[in-house]
Amino acid sequence: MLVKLHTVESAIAGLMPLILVLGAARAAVPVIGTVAARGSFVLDRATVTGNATLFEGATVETKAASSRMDLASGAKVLLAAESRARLYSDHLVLERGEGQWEKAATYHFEARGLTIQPETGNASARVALAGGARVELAVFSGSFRVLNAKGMLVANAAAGRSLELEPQMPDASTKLTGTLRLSSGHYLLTDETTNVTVELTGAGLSQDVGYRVEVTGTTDVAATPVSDAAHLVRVSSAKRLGKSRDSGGAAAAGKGGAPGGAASSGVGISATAVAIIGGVAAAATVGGLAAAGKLPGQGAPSPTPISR
Amino acid sequence: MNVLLRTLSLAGALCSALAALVAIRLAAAEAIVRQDTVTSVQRALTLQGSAPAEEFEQRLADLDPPRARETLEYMVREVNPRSGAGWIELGMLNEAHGNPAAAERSLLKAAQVDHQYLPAWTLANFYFRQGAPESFWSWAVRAAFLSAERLADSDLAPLLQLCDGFEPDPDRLLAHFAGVPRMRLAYLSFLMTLNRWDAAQRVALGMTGDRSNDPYLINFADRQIRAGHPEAAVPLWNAASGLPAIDPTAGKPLSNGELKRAPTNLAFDWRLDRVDGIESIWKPTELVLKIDGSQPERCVMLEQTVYLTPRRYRLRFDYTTGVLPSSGVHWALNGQEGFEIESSQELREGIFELPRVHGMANLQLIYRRSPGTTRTEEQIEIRHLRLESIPEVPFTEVMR
Repeated sequence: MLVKLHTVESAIAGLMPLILVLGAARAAVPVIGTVAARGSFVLDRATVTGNATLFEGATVETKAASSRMDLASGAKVLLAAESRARLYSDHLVLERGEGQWEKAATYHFEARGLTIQPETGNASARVALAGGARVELAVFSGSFRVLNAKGMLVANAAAGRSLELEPQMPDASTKLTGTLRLSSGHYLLTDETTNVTVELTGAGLSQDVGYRVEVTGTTDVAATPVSDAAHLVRVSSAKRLGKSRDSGGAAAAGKGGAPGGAASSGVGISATAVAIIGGVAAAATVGGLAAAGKLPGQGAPSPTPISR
Repeated sequence: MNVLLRTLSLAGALCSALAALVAIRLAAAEAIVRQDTVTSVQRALTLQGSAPAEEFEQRLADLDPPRARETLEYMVREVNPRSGAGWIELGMLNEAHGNPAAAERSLLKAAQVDHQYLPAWTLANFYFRQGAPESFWSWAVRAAFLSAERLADSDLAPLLQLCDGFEPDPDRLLAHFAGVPRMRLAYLSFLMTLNRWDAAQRVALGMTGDRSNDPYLINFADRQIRAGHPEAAVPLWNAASGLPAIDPTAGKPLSNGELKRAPTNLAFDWRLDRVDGIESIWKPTELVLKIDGSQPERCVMLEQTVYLTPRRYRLRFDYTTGVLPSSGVHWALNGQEGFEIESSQELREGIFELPRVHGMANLQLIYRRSPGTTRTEEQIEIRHLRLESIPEVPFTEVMR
């Protein structure tokens, strides 16, 4: 390999749509991009060596080498070795292993019923299917939103943030941690793990304003929350975690999007504060994907060359 | 002599000094590149002189992505111009940068230095994406030709998908690959996976006559039947089965009635599904079914898909059974049972009048325990099966 491919291709501008238009016009199934690998990969159950044209709905399965997809949307997607994904013009469904955006543009990932969508064009992140029903998300740049199967926001993740997400039973209760604040007569809380702001209703909340609290309740999907909040949560119990108002750095961490407070102490989902929202459990991870540096693009001093 | 020795010594010293200088430059380059900046890596490259290290180029590309294409171009032009993979990489990069002319040059260069499959395949893809059919077909055919020792037939599907994008008509598509016979079979598989039955049928019919294709045609006929297209399966079966032709429209829908060949379980042949308690033994012209008493209360022992046109049919067959008064064995059509086969230790003819069914149907020999009896231990031998159409008796004749 003469030049690291990920850097070669990171230089590619958004001209792919124009290039692919002709092919798309001729094929019964639209062309959505190209796929390349150093070695062979499986495309729609056929073994392909080197590179191929991607059609809408194609399934790419990698073997020992990762594969790289340049998509008509301008997004660049890397599928790690031993992974499988189905690709569409606007999204990818990760079926096994790991995938990574380099220029997410408007392209989103789906994994185990979760939708992970970029908020900025140059966002990059990695998504991996972990054990059980877990989905790991590590954001390298930009920011991403995570939605559950019903399109409900369950997490916001900014650069440097790593989350483990696991869909629960649909009626799972909501559990969030953050500093309770009062804004224009509405109680708001930004969860430290998911960075999602919710409006709270319930008895006795006024006593906890300014305190870091852990609240449990149910999300009222039919209710319209105040504009700053994503959801309205009816609180069944609230537990004060700090002794004084605005105590500790956790509240700030929650607003800043970086792992902090209880969430920052652990290295796995069991050692961190677990939030549950929209039927999805979420935990911040520090020793997870972001720290692993297994894929390039994380700013490591000597990134591992992509094999393709 | 002394002059010669001195000259040699001097030359040796110069060589040593030069080698030391090169070593120092390389060591310096290694040291400088560790600063990991664009400038330091560029400086290291300069120190490398005429033998730049690939990893330095890679790192420079990492640190300075806009230069990636330039770097790659330098590498394939100056360092390793015989690298087909490098030219392909450059070609794809140029294509992605919106420079198809440069991409084409690079990819053609790849094909020039590497006569294997990959450049041809890449060019076929490139011309497909560029919407250039003439060039596409040229490289697609070449890729197909070069794939012979490299790809399984099923792995030609991506190439065929491109071809199909330009030419969905099977005859015209295959005309491009006249010199690559395996493409017809690969194309048949490709069309089958897409459930494009009509196109696949045309391709399959073009494969008849070559005995090596028979297993594939039988398999396709079986698929056609399972897809609900028995009429399409008939000509394929007749061409490839090696059995006397069936002619459903002429009232001759039964295949392998003489049991001259062991049932294959495919298409219009007999199917012998594994059933606990029943052993099937085929001998030329005869099928023996041994029932040991542990069989299910009801089970299908023998079955054939028949394509029936609107008329009345009668199945005639020769058979023997064991000594038991009740065999529990019946013929059935789509589950509609006829009378139980009478026990007979002597070879005799049996008859099953088929219920009126049109279209595709399953002719079945079943065992069903009769009420008030135990499950039979029995041996049935069957041979010489004929499914005949019965002339319709005009209503006026019946009245008379």
